[in-house]
Amino acid sequence: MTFAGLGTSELLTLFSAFGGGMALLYVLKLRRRRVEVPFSPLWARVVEERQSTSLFRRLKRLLSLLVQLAVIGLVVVALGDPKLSGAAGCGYQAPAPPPVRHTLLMIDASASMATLEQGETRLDAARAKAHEAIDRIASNPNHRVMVVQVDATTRPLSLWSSDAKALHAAVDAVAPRGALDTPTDVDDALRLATSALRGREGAEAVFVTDRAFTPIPVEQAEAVRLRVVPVGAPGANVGIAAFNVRPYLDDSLTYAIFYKVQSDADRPLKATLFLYANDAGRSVDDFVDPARVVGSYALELPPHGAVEAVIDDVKFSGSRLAARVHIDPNDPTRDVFPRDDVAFALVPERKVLKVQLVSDGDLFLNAALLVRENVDLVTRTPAEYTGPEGFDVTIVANVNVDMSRPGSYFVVNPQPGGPFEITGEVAEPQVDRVNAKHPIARHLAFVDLNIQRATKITRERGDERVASAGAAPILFTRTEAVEGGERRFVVLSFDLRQSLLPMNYAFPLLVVNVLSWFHQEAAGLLQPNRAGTELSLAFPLPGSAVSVVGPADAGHVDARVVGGRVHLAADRVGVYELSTEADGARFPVAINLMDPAESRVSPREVEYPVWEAPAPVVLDEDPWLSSVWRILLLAALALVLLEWLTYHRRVTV
Amino acid sequence: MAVGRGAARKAARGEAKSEVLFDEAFMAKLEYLDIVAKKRFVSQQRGERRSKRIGAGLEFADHRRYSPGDDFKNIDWNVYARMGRLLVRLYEEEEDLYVYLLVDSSASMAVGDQTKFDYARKLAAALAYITLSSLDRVSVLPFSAELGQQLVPARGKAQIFRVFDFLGGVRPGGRTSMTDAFKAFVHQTRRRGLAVVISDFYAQDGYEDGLNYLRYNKFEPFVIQLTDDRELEPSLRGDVLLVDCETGLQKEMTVTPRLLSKYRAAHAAWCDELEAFCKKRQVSYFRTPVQVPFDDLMLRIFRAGGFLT
Repeated sequence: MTFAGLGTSELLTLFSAFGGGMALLYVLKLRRRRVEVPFSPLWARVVEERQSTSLFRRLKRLLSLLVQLAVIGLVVVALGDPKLSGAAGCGYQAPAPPPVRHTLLMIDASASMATLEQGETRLDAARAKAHEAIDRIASNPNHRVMVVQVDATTRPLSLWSSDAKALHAAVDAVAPRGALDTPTDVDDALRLATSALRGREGAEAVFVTDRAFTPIPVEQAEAVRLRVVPVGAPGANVGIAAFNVRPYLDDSLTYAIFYKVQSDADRPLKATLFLYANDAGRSVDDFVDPARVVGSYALELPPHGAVEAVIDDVKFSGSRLAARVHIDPNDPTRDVFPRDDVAFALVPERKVLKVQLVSDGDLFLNAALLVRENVDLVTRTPAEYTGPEGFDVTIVANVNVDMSRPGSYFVVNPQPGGPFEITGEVAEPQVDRVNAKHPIARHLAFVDLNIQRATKITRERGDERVASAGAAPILFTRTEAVEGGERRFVVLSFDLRQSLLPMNYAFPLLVVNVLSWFHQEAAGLLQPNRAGTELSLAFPLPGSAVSVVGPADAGHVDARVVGGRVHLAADRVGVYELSTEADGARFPVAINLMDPAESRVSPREVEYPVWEAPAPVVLDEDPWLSSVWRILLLAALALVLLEWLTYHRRVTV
Repeated sequence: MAVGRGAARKAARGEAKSEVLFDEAFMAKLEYLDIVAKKRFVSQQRGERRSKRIGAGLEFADHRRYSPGDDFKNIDWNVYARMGRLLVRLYEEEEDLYVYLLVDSSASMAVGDQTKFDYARKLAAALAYITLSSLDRVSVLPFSAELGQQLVPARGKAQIFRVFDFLGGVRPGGRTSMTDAFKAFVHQTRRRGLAVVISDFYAQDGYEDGLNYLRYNKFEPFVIQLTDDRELEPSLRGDVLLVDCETGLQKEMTVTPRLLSKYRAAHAAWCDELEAFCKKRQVSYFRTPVQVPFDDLMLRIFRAGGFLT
């Protein structure tokens, strides 16, 4: 007989401990209750025939103890999981225990897993493959699995377990309301895999995914022995990769709409982009209504390419905008991933800028600013200037004043003695380099300026050049930290009066761009709020207890206010309304998917090894040889039952 | 040692108990009862019972020839006139009875709350009162393995308080040996009489020799066996160590309902043996459990048993 469980020495120790304890308890049990009787010979006469010989009584007591010890012995031997020799008498060789393995089963629940294929989502297919994998693994009791949901965050849904039932339940718990609207954070998933698999025998990470994420470096994948169970098939998809709305500084009813629509189809597609406006909309269903259409725009999408554009002069009323892209109904191509067809944007709040112009009388700037209805202009001479406090922007033109305090300064033709190191002049500079992507350069051409001369200013580290003539910066920005805050500069290095710029149609636009840059209203495209990421937004409402109302399918979203900023993370796209008890006002936040990797639903080439199920482990099927411990436990139970019966029949005691 | 401590505790409780064993109303009832003596005894003083002695009584007994020295007033002159012979009248002399109350004061009498010993003392006091009411002499002798200090024979109702005081001072303890105790009693007592043995008869050496000793020495034994129903229904179950309260003998035992049933049968058989022994030797025997109310015992059970007139 061999033991597959505890060793012989451990079994002996257990038997000694419990057997000794039982014997001790038995001795204690025999300390009988002392009872005083008036005439013992009568009792002696009664028991004379029953307990005629003390030897027999002792034997019965010993028998009772032996029964107890036998019960302990049977249980202890059962713990050893004994294996009996074969019937023929030859030595029984217990089969080698199945190999110990650890599989981190990661299931992709990101937005791309909502892709519909053959009537079911990729997430459904992933769940089915995960169930299948668990069934294949379950034959090995030493193969432990941990189920993990991977989206923008990585969430373990089970402990290390070989219990197939628990693992199946964990797989069913992956995104029970469908795939989320979040991208796949594979870095986070790999970090968890590295941590969970470290030091484990037979470790591997199995990722059931459509591979719609940024490719993982091979060495990083191999570090966790990443294996992929692929799901998903090639398909066509169009999606909105960027969407934003920007008001014009000087027009309250006109907006500029920026969009980027990408196609994942193999051929050119015709599509239409619809814009909807709704002040109270939170989900796409709240917007998609013919009465709410702001405009529709035909798109020609190249194969595996994108179209981006700014739609100018879009007029609408409302504070919330939604975009939805549709493939032309006449086109047979079907969009398999509808989640990225919508995007939401909030119209930035307009405000009146308080601007002070410090100069000896610059009429060009004065005129350019006065015509702006959303600019509150104050003109001052250098003698009247007291500081930047109380103004959103201070424009300093052709003079030198104290600009050491924190503030926003637009400096035109800086003078010596100011915050800039002037090393000379540049005669008739020609603007030859323009950073067109800079917000200040938006829509500007910087041609035909005819600048007579410009100030030569030494560049400092961190300066952002917008336009330059050779090595001399003509237009640049600088941000410096000073005591009490920071000061931001936009510097135009020449005198307006000695150029044709004021005569150029671009001059008012330059002024607007500069003012907008200071307030980041029109800095190109604001970074969108993405689903699944932790957002930290400036929160204008008083109070700290925030309640969040989002789209109908969003579920509960936690938000907290720390230091004037609100932190929240949502995994469904839509518009979320934040409010506090202290104020009835609502603070809307638009959450979008807008992840090119997720929108690329056609699976990439498999760059990682495909998971292969381990060979099924065949355990010893002989119920007798493998289940002796059960028989021993049954025998122990039978003995306990027998002891109980005999005890109450007073046979053994 | 345990037995000794138990007896001491019981003795302390007995001291604290009131020694007024009967109230006046109860004693007034007993006053009209008398003990029927089944035999006549010789007594030094005249009593209310006939004795075997021919003497100065009022009841005519017989004639005999005149002998010189006889009192002339006893010559039956009528007989002389008819028959010409001098005969002297003989009278049966009325003599008082000696009643010895032998009260078992062994440890087995003091087991339990309502002890057999208290019951025996009440019984002895009642018998003493009745005896004294009948102008007989009564003596109380507690015994265990030996004869204890005795109350010397007393006469007259006024002596009942001595009896009460004496019984109140008796403490139970020790083992029972009727053979030794009754042997000592016989040797110490010159006057024969009624020997009322009040006991549970739980004697390790048996009761037969003791009772026979009384009989052989011309005492009239009157056996009153006290039992306790609680002893027959002990609340014992399981493994116990039985300790004899008198001898300290120990016996391990597992008490089951079946064993208890056997015990009750054995006790009944043992009582029957005692009763058969007494009847076979024409010894008055009566058995009563202490649970029977004392009034009932005195007024009905004793009367039904022919003990009182």
